[in-house]
Amino acid sequence: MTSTARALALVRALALALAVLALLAGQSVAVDRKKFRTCAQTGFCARQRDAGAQEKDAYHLLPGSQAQDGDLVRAQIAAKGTRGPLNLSFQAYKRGVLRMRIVEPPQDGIRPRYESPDILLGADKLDEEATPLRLEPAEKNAEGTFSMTSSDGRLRAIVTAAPFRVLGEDPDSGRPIVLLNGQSMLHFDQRAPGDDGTLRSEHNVGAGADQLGSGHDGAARKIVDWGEDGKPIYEDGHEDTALGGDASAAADADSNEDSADSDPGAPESFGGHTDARPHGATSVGIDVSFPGCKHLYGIPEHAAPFSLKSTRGPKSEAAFDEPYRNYNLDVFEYEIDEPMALYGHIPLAIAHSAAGTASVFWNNPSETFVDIANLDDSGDKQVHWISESGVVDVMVMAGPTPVDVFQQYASLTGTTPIPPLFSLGYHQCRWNYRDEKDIEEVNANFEKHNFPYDVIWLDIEHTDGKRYFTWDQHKFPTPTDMQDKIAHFGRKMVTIVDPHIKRDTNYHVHREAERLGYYIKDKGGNKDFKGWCWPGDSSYLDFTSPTVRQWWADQFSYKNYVGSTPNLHTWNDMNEPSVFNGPEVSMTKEARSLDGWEHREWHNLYGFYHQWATMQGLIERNTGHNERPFVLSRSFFAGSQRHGAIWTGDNAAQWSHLKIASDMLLSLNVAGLPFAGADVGGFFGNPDEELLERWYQAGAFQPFFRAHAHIDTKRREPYLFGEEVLARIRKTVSLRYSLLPFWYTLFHIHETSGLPVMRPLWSLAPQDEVTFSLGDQWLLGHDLLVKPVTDPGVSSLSVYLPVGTSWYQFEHPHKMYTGGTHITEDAPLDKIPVFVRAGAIIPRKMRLRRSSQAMRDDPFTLMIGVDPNGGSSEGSLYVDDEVTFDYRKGDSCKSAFDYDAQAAKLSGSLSCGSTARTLHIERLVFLGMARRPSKVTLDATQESLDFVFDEETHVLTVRKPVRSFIPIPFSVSLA
Amino acid sequence: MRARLLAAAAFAAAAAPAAQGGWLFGGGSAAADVELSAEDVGKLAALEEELGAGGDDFGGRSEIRGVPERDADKYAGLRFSCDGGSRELAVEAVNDDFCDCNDGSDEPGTSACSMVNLASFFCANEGYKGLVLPTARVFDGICDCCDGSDEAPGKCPDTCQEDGASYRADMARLSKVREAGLAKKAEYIAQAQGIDEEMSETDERLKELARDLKGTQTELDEAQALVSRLEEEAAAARKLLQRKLRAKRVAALHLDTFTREQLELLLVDVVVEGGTPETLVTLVQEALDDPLTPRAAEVAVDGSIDPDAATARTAEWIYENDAQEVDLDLEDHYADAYAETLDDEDEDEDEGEGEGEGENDEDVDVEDLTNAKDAGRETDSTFSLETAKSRVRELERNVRRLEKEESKLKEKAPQDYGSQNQWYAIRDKCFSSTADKYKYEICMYKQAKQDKVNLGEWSGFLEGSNDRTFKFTKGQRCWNGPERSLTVHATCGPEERIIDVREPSTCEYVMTFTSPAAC
Repeated sequence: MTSTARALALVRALALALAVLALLAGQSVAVDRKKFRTCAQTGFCARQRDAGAQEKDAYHLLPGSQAQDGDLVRAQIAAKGTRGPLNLSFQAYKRGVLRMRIVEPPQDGIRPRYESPDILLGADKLDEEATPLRLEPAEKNAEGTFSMTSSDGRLRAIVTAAPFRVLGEDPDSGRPIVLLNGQSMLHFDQRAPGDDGTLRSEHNVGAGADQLGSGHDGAARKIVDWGEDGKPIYEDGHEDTALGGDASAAADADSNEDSADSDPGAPESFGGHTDARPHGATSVGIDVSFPGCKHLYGIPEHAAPFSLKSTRGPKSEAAFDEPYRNYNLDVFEYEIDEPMALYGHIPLAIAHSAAGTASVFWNNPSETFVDIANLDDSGDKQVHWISESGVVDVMVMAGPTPVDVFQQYASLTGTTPIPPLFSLGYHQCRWNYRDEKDIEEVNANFEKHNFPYDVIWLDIEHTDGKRYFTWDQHKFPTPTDMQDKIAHFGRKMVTIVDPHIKRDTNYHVHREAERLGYYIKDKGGNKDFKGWCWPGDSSYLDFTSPTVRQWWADQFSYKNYVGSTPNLHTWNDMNEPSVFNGPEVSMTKEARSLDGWEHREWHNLYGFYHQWATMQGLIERNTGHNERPFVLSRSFFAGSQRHGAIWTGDNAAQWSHLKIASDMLLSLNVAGLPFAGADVGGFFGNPDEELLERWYQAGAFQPFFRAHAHIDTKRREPYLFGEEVLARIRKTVSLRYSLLPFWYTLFHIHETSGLPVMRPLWSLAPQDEVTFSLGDQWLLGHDLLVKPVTDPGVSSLSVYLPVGTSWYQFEHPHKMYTGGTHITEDAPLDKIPVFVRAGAIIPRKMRLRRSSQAMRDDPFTLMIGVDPNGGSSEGSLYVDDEVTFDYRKGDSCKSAFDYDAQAAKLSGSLSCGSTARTLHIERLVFLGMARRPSKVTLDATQESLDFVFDEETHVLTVRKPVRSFIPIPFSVSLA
Repeated sequence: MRARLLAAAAFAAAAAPAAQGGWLFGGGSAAADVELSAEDVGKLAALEEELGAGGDDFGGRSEIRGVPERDADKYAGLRFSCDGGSRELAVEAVNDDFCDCNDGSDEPGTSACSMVNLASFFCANEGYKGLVLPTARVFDGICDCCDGSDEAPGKCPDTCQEDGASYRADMARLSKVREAGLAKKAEYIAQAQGIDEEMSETDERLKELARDLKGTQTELDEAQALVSRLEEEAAAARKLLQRKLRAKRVAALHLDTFTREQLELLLVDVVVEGGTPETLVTLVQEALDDPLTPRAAEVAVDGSIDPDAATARTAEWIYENDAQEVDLDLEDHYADAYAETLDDEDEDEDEGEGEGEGENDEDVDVEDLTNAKDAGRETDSTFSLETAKSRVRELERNVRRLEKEESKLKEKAPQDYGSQNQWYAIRDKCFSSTADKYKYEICMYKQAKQDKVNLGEWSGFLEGSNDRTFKFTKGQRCWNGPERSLTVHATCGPEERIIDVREPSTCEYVMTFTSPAAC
């Protein structure tokens, strides 16, 4: 009695204490983990993760099934206990890409698995990339194996029959590059006829479902509705709980070898939502390992270190317990150093070692978990892809260099078209600039303080009740005037257009969409799916449908989007999609596309399609479809790089978030999506001045450069912190603008060659193992090295400079550093640790303007990092009209610069397409010039040029004022 | 053109509100002397600032592009010096579109030094007014000067005459407004005549009060300390005696002859049988007061105690478990009970003193106990507890009286009516207006409200604002946000009026307000 009472009192006191703690925690930034599933709470993941370790049911090649089929090689595999053989095909693409697809053989009564036709480049482009893959003569191989080579000689693959393995190797050296299914984790939930294409149980049959099947569980009662708790309500009035069960319990049961009865296709519940899984178990998976590689990168987006941590195998302190999760989600107040899912994902993993670089692309848009393991015997890195549905479609990129891998991936999924120049400038955003007067005042303050910016943004509050494509009539009565006034300064505006549509019959977008039947359907497939988002009750357009995408694009016409002008661009937020009352704050997997595909099949493509349709709209609104669009998206998938920019979502004003931004952006960049940024200042919370300044410094050297803030935060426009802070931030932003020609050239290089804009150090020094673990410093192209300060109170920091390179401090080039070592660099508040590579030539524009447009006619400055070893320095410059697609028709100019230190001669070539352009240079800045030249001559005219040589810093500045700027092409000789 | 004016105004040392005006040009303002529009207020602020600055007279344009006549001398001669004299250039280097000087002064007419924030370009804008721009605005394709001189010839039309005319018309109209405001301000100041003296008297009295308060408070603290000390001493004495006595009483009731089991049975009997001596129930309830007994749970569950249930439960608890604790409590209880008996017998004992040797000790103890009980009253004739307590009460009364007077005085005379006491005349006035669905009200020197929500209490003028910006702070806390606050920017106007209220950051409000006091 007493003990019970005391225990009771104790429990109560404890509960109270916990409640208080929770309350306190709620005030700081913290993610609510309970809202999101773990692998163990997800049946297909728990099963595959467990089964993989047991190596049961290993697949083997059906003897003699391999055959040449045109340029492809086909075969069949099977495993004991599976329903029948699976079809296997191999294909090769130029430059060393091997593709392996595994599908179920076509069969009556089985609907083919979902595969998106839109992730990879279109068939026309891919076909161009294809290269024949040939079976090699059998005598070349050991018993039970066969081999193939791509006809461009870049890759050889050897297939072992039992167990089934595929080894990719370098045909010349025989170096093993990649091993598929090395641990026999290949998994394919096969279906029997009648098992799919039919629904598994009665309760899934919504009104008018076209297909019916006998309930596999014998449940005959009919469901008439669903409770708020996500549980079914039956016709007989029953509110059953049997369906629910706990997902973790179900998973536990599944992982129990003894429970042979457990149905892998059973419904699962989580967080009050039940997924009936009407098609049962459809999961797929495979392991891919990289011989000799100890480092893996990529699989963004996770708030985790650039060099991926292992998630399996022997516990080390650095490892995560959970696999990386790829399931696009709106994660409120996400935390760092977590493998949890975030807003967008790219299933690309890159392996790197001193011996070579390779990568694997897992072409699957359903929910995916990714285990990273160090193999026991070798320590080699292994990636285990575990997806809920779809097919096995693996692309292996053989490298061997980082550049090769970047290009190989770009040849499959494409690159980012060069952005309109303004979008590379500084973006000023806040949730929310309240009204037209607010916009006008902020703009006036930037003007008053001589502070450059290119774009000012409007978040959700600008709309009439979160009805996108409309304006709040009181706050924004004259939107076109407002945009015109901003455009007067050479600036642009961006408004937010989210994918959820308010269900309001007075809202024309909804009325139309409903009338045309363009919304995603609820389970059952007939009623519109409804969810809760900013405007309240909303529906979600089915962007997987080309018809709906075209209709959406049409909404951006100036006629339809009343109040928009050519200077207005678009921000696509909440497109994971975010559904406030849905499972894990997203859409139920049972929702259906207009084609009848379940949401589970293509969940990770929702933002991809949304941004694509929006981009199309911005292109098509202009006659001639010739202006480049700018669309920022929060959600993304492989291929999203073709549609615009993304940002890392709702981060926080904390030093740790500033720090992780570089890791996250590097991961995105190596995964082919270069135009990415993190909110400068941090979205949640109020940064102090120091954090804000440091964040600007980092952001100025990251591709997408936007300051943004939550509505509950204090105003933080850079002029609100006094003259000193303002001056320092202005200097930082000015540096960004002075480097715009360099950024623009980098994006041109990306578009044409697939190279990232922001690159890891190992892309420049592939053999330098120190660089392999660095995620806190990066390269722009291969010429600038950046390591921002990401800690408070710092006056100096350690920077690693890669082996075989030399560098000058960017702003104070008084000294040259030789690579292969850590240096300690002064980093007072007004300094950003940035270095110029000896051997680089960087084009700049050294005039501060109010916007990038106002810089268009300004002359260039070349910054030449002289190679102390007498090697030549090289650089390039790309120029076009900065606005239109005319560059695709040949209207652009390229300039290549070369400084031959031996000959002491700097020259610049110029090659223009359809339109000739005059490019002028006003200044040449040589860093690390050993001695004062006696004379500097412009070769063409033999004119002697003025110059200043600083004996202390060894900087030579050649001045060429307006009366005769140096026109490109040119050459200048130093004597 | 409008936008150009805006740009000009935005950079000219003018305040931000000047720039706001430009955006609303063309809105047209109603009869100037009646309704002041928001843009007028902006212009008035600019006018005020311009007049305050004493008017920057640049003179006209000089021979050197971008240089006002006033500074032309610097550019005369064959050599040009910059960077505080540390650098000399041939005069040809001036405006040659290459930046040579760290201070940017060699390129006043081009954008070459625009990276230097100081570098400035002057346009004379004949017919309007001269303007200084950062050289970033030169040749950037955007017309900033009404004479178009910041851009290549032919790029921008010269609109200075029109702009100047409209500016002059505006200014003439607004100057009248301003004069009216100034006249009113003079009245305000007149009303405040003698206020300084009154205020200084009040000030004196306030200072005196502050001194008195401090003194009294110190005395009070000392007196309170004394009371606590005396109370502690008395309590300690009592405790000691009670302990001694308790032992005696247990012996007197022969409870020390009970075994533990017998004691428990006694207690259970007492509770179960009813007919309980009041004192034993008290004992049980005291036991309940121990936080370790079941009472804690009882309270936690429903916040109250059912004495019967609790007693019964306690009996059960005692019975089952904590006999040891009960032992102690029993001793206490019987000791107390015995003490009461002894009290009753006091007189008897007085009468029959020196009964037997064995009882002498007890007598002494009883005496001590009595003393201890009375310790607060009679231990010391000078510093007795009662005296000390009444002293505390008296001092507390004094403090309250002083504080009351102080707050009364303070209310009557807030700290600051402005350097000329220009805000005195409206010190107790409230002003309101309805904007964006809400009614905003400010009561000078008191409080600001949005409908019924407190936006903040008066917190004085902002330093350096020339008594033109005042704040209300510590308003009602926002859900998930800060305490509300309101900053009021007052501009010269003929009357008090709320022009505009905004909320740039959540729960931080900003009001534009006119008053003659701000003239």
